[in-house]
Amino acid sequence: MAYNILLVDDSQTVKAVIAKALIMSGVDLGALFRASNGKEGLEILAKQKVDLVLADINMPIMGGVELVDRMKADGALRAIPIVIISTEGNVGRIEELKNKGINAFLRKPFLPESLKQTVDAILGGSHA
Amino acid sequence: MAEIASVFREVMEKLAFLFPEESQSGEFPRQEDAFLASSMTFTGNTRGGLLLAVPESVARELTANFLGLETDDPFVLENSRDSLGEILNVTCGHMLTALFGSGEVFDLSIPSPLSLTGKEVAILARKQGGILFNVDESPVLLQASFCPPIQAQA
Repeated sequence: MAYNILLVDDSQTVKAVIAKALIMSGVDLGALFRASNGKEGLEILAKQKVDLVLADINMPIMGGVELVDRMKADGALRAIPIVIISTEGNVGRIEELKNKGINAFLRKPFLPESLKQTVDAILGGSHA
Repeated sequence: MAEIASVFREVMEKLAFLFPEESQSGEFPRQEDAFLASSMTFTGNTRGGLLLAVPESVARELTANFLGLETDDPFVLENSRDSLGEILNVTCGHMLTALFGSGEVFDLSIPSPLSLTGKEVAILARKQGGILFNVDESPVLLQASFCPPIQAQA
């Protein structure tokens, strides 16, 4: 089964690095959608079938926390797994995000192996 | 300042496979170079800012290494400012944790790109909070400011 993944980060470089790490990890990738902030991410989510969202926190227009809140408040999006990838180091904020329902948190800079393990754990690890 | 320098070295090594060494002389060579810079602010119990300035050649190299591409790849040329901002963003997040612990809450701004001449960077390097590094024989400046000053909080 191919998985459609949405990357939400205002950095083109980070999106390129995550995309490369996903491809190298052997995830059975379907479509890889890219958004530069939470608002763009929600627009893509309204039109496309997405199996996993990987999002930053600190972005212009709409950040990752609001994106999580909006997704969790929307019955059609609530079940889509979310991984936050950020430089955030405050344990309270990370815990708050977990309480909101994110599936995992990866702190930048992350190792490609950590991303693979995280994606495996969420999508079932059925890929290579 | 030692902790800030240590965080920056670690981030550059992990993300860009570059190995900055702190300048021992404090001299600022190659003032004729054009620099790319990125700056951001943080707000919490302590507020302040962080600026990173590198010659354009170093910006291209760190972007290429970050992405696993050649320095003349069009994507590298288009995204050097973006990569520099991300290096700064990660440095800022880890610097705040290293200095204040994981219990402190900070709001970070989005990194803003700017262009500086070598002479302007040399002037900044002489100000308080400036840490000058050598990266492949090129000068790289990391400038941190804190309010209240971090020395006063010890």
